[in-house]
Amino acid sequence: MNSSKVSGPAVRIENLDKYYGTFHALRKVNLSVERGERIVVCGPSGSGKSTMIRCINRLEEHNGGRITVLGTELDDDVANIDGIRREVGMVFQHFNLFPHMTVLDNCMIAPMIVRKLPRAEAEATARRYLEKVRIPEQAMKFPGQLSGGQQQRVAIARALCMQPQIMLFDEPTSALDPEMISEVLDVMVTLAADGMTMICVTHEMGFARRVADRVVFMDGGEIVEEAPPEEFFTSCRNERTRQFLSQVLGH
Amino acid sequence: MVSLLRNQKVRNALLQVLYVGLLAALVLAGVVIARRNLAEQGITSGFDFLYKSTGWDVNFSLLPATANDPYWWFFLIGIINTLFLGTVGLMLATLVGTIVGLARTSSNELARLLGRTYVDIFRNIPLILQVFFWYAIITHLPTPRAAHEAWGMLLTSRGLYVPVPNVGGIAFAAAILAVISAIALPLWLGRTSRLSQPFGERLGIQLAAAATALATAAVILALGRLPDGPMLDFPTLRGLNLQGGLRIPPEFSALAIAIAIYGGSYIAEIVRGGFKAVGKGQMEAALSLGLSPWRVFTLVRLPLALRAMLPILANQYVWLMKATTMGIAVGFTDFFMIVALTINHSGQTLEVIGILMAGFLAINLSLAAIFNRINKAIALKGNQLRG
Amino acid sequence: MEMVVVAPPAPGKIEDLKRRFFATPLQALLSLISLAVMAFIAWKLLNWAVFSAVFTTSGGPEACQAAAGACWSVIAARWRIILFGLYPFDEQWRSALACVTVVVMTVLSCLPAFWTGRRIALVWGAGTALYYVLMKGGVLGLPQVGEEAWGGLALTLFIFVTTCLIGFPLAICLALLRRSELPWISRTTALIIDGVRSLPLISILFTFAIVLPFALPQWLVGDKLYRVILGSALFFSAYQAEIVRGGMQGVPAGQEEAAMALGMSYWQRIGRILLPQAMRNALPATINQFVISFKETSLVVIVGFFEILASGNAAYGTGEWRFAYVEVYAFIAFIYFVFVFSLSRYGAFLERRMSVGER
Repeated sequence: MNSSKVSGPAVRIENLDKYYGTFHALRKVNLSVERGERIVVCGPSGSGKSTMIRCINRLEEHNGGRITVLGTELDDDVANIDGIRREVGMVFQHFNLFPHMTVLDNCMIAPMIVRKLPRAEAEATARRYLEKVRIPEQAMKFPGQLSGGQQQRVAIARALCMQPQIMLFDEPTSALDPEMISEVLDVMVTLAADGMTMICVTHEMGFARRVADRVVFMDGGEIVEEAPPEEFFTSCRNERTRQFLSQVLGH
Repeated sequence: MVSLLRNQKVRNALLQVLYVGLLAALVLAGVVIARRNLAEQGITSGFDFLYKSTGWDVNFSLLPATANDPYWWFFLIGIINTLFLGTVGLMLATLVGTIVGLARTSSNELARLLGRTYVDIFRNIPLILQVFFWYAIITHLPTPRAAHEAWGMLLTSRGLYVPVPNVGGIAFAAAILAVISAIALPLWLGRTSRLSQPFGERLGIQLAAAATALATAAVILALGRLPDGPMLDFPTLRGLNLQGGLRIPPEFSALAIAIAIYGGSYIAEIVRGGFKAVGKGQMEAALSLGLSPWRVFTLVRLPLALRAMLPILANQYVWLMKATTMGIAVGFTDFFMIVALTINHSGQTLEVIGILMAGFLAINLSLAAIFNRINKAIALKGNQLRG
Repeated sequence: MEMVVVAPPAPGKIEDLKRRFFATPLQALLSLISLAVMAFIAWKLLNWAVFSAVFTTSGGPEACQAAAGACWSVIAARWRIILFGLYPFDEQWRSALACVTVVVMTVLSCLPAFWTGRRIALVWGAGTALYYVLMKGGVLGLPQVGEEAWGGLALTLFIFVTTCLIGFPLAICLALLRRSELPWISRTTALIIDGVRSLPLISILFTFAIVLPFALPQWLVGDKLYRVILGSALFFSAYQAEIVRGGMQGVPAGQEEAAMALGMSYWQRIGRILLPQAMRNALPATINQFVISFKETSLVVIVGFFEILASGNAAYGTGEWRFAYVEVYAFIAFIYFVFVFSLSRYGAFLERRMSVGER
């Protein structure tokens, strides 16, 4: 998959439908993300925002519509799924680090067994990214010995070690104690400054204002509003958006 | 074609078809080969053999049995023997287990040590070795002529002879039912919500019910008494042989003792676990209400511990039922031994294996059903925080 | 590590005993009863097993039978048959060495240093191969000894080890199949597992030993020993599969999602992420299953193998030592006890250590 040379948007979602049993989780969602663009997705819980980004790397299977990632359509073809997952990194709410491996091994395992990188090269990459997320000294520790904020930074480094072209963030700061949120957000800001294509599901409106190119508001499985941050925060048109914003920002 | 194989849905469907198909083909091939092999030996498949007489006898049966009886009758005898041995073993094991388990949870260090030693020794020696051991012990007892006597019972190498009431079979069974209801009735009365009387009155009603049931049992026994002979038939020595009384064959006693001791060690651990599961808070709450230690035990600790034990105990009982298959090691005609003998004599291998599986499935399912009912009946109502 | 405990002023020994055992009348009664029971059993047992026992073979069976206590001479006279069965006398050192191999193998697998899939497989594979070469011979100048001559403790250990060696990978396969997302695969596997679990082991051994040859083509029938081992492995795997599945359920779903998101394939996710964590969760229950399985190995006596129980029966069963059955059974019980007790103690130790480690 030489998708980096393919032109067109990084992610294109067209008429996406997703059901859990009879529950209609996503209703005809349309979204297009350009290369290098930073998108923040927000909305009340149960609005389908996590489901949407989990569809992008097939942690959830969609039931209707099309998802095209880096020019490859995400369908039932196993090779396409594997290819897309290699190019799309993901950071989870609960970190999901592998507890039986050291921090360094967490970062090295996927490049070694998926990208077939030699050990020395994988280790060099891992150390470089651990440096980037500012915890090189924790490399030989196990995830259980780190604080929540440190774990989440390791999780970001782990995803980056695969050298993905797109990064998905699924509420990366929701499970963190308040004093640790900023250290994770700082790393994400640096990443954005490097020009990474990012789709972040988050409630951190300060982050959205600072980095996002566009803010997407979802409710009830639909995209309700989509706008650049200054427009989104100052002059949103939709009643539901206003209500949500007043709840998030109002205190 | 290649791209079709890369399709996840196609792949999944193919995998399932392959897996189920392969297993089905294996089983089918086995059955076909077996039928051909058996046909070569002149054995026709089908269940007709069930109505033929066996031509061999069983050494233990609660129902009348002769070599002329058909196979289906023998299967029934086998199932009843298994259930009987299982039930006796299960009750004895529960008794042993409760005593040892209580010793293990007692506040007395010496009693705990005693309980622990028991569990450590008997849990770690295979059941079948214990069966062999007790069987050897019993068959090496003195011959009937030199029998040990104790409380009217005779211990001999041919078995244990115990006195029996001299009554007809049906009356005896009815009396046993009455005795069981003497225990069950008060328990049931204690549980029904209609009885909202104060504790003392309720106890009176329960005692009356038990007494009535016991009296019924006595009347049934008196009425069903056989005309000749005394009320209790004691075993006695006549010449070289023993007469009278009920003979419990060595096979049965060896199995029952071994299951009681081995199973008891497991049940003791379950009992201990059950008591450990009762939260300290509940006990403290009960004590702070001013209840006496005995009342705390019977009203709070025991009922809660029982609820914690029951699911694990159910598994253990299922296991004990299956352990009766060790009967074949000493020649006790349980269900499995009847199955093995039938295969030997009739050659109807496939059908009999089917009956074996069906029999154990039925036993397992009915035990599971019984325990589910009990579990539902005593489960704590509603959701509550457990401490 | 050194612990410094500042004790309260030590009460006298007598007061201490009084407080521990005779605090209330009920306690005193319980203590006295327990003490009496223990003293009685201990005295009887010691008297039988040590003080009045005969240990040498010099007097022959007659002197032994006349003694009031245990007749350990039967063990001295017949230990070879109990441990090695009918294995050729001159070659019995091989049988002994094979038993040692199994013990070493078991001890090695208890060391955390060997707790990676590859190392444990290596230890068990090499150990079993060594055992087989020692017992069977036919190479390296060792005379060949057929399986029909294997017996006693050596055979018991062989059946146990091969049961685990075949049963364990099978259990992992069954567990993976049962948790498969494909409904037909998981349902069929559940049927197999629950079916095997509802049957007693003896009936499965019997089916494999005696019934299976009818249902197999001639060239597949093979030796009865290996059929019985397969049956026993199947039984083991049905139980162990549920233990492994329990361990897998203890691994959060996020672990597999993270692995998927990193692009790992199914087998990479299973081998690198799921199984290492699942096996750790399942370790105490697994050791318990090994203990149960070792005890159940004794059941093969029923389908006619000359393992330790049968060889024990033979050791006293004929002629001059007929009276000495208790001693023989006590000896075999002791052997089982040593194996089973130490393994289950180790399991309990691990369980404690792991529950502490989680905090």
